[in-house]
Amino acid sequence: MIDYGTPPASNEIEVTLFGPGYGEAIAVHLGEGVWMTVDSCIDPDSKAPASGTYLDQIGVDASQVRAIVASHWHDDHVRGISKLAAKHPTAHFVLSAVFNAKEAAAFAAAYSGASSAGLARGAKELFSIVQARETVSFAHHKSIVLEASLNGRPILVTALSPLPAAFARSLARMAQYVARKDDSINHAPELRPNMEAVALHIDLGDDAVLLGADLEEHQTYGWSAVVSDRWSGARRPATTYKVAHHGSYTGDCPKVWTTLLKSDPVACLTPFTLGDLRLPTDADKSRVKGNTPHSYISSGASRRPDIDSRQLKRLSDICKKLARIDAGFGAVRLRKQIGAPSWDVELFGAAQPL
Amino acid sequence: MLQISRTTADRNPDLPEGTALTRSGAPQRTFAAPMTNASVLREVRADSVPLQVWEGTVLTVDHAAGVMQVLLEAKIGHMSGHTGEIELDSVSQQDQDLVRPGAVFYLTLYKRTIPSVENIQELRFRRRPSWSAAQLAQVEQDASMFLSKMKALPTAA
Repeated sequence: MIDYGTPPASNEIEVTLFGPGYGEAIAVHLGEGVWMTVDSCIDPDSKAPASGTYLDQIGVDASQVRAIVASHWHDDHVRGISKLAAKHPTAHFVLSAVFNAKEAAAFAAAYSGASSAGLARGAKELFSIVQARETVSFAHHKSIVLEASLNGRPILVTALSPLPAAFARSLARMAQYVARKDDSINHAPELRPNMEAVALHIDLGDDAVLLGADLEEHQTYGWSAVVSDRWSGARRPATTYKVAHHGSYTGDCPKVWTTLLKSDPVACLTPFTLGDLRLPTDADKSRVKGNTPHSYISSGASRRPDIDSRQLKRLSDICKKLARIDAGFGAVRLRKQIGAPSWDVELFGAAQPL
Repeated sequence: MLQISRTTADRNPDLPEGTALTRSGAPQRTFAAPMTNASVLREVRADSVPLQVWEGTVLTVDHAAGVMQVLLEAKIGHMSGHTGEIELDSVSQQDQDLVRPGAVFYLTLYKRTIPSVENIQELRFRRRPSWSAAQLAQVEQDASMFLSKMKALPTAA
């Protein structure tokens, strides 16, 4: 079990990014004991949501978490998020505005497992949260996710995406998979590329943080459209960036670095391993490092299979490129005092410089 | 597992497999049915003992490369989840139509010791029925509940 030490001081801002090889979660301390979380993955030691395990360990009371955001519904971003939401009942839960439409609601309901055995873990996680709560909030471009005045310091968390065009496109795709009579019951596809993800801008009063989610690049629906929007371009440039889509070129938009970020920001990201698809690739790493000398990854560990040799040989006969999804779990923690010019970086577990 | 023989058309040993000669002697491609990967998948017998059952979920399918990316979770004992890649040829003919993102399958490793040691693997996709009227009514009700709980956030100026 990782020892995370002590909680941040009330005048310290913190962004902690957790990630095994497959999954991502973020905990943000906005100051004065106020927290929010974004997405969820499982801590391989506690077998519980990584953010929840972390907040418990550093002594944060459940009531201090004000918001829980599910940036999108893909499996690697929502594992355990229903448990996290249940653990923090006073935090408001925020999901992508794409779910505020009958096609998406029908999609989530059909694939949640409520009327047929579970067909998509992501849909199940989100559906069970909605079912358990009185209300949930949906976010789109310009939505205010959280607003507070902390010791006189204004905090404003806003959504940069999804954009209206992306919203319509995602709905059209979801509508193709809505359950219909006599259609065979199938499983929910992940509907890539991801244009419905909620990317967040956190204005801390004197600084800002950009959390890129898995939003991908596209002139009309993705990052290019976000940065060319006048309102987005007027956001306070951030000094910290959770790099979009695991550093992949599909999530890369050079203008993000010049429009939404200050020069040489602290960049952090989680890896994504799926068969022979391993993000970030060496080219991705070089590109991110070309944009900033301060870049970190939550897990740089080997993804070698963890299966006894007898089974591994048998399994490898049919399944190639085996990789552990929770190998080398780690966390990148960034802290800074309010008004301080730079971030202190701490690396836990398998986290390392990119 | 279903075994399908390759084409029985007359074959010229100098031509690639699946290529037959027409009467004129000009090479012509013939249909060669997909085969399961017989070298690793063998018939399960009543006295085969399961050593491990991996529940798999198809994440992506690359028909051009003939492979699917999968997520595997062990059903026996505590073992880490893994991702991996399986050739579509390893999927039996009757399950081929079920191979799509999100589909669930079971990859079972069996062992048989009598009369001799034999390792057997079986790959089976979960087959689902069609949506019934009652299920669709439930989906509609659940979707209404879902929508009724959605609340807009304020918008920034």
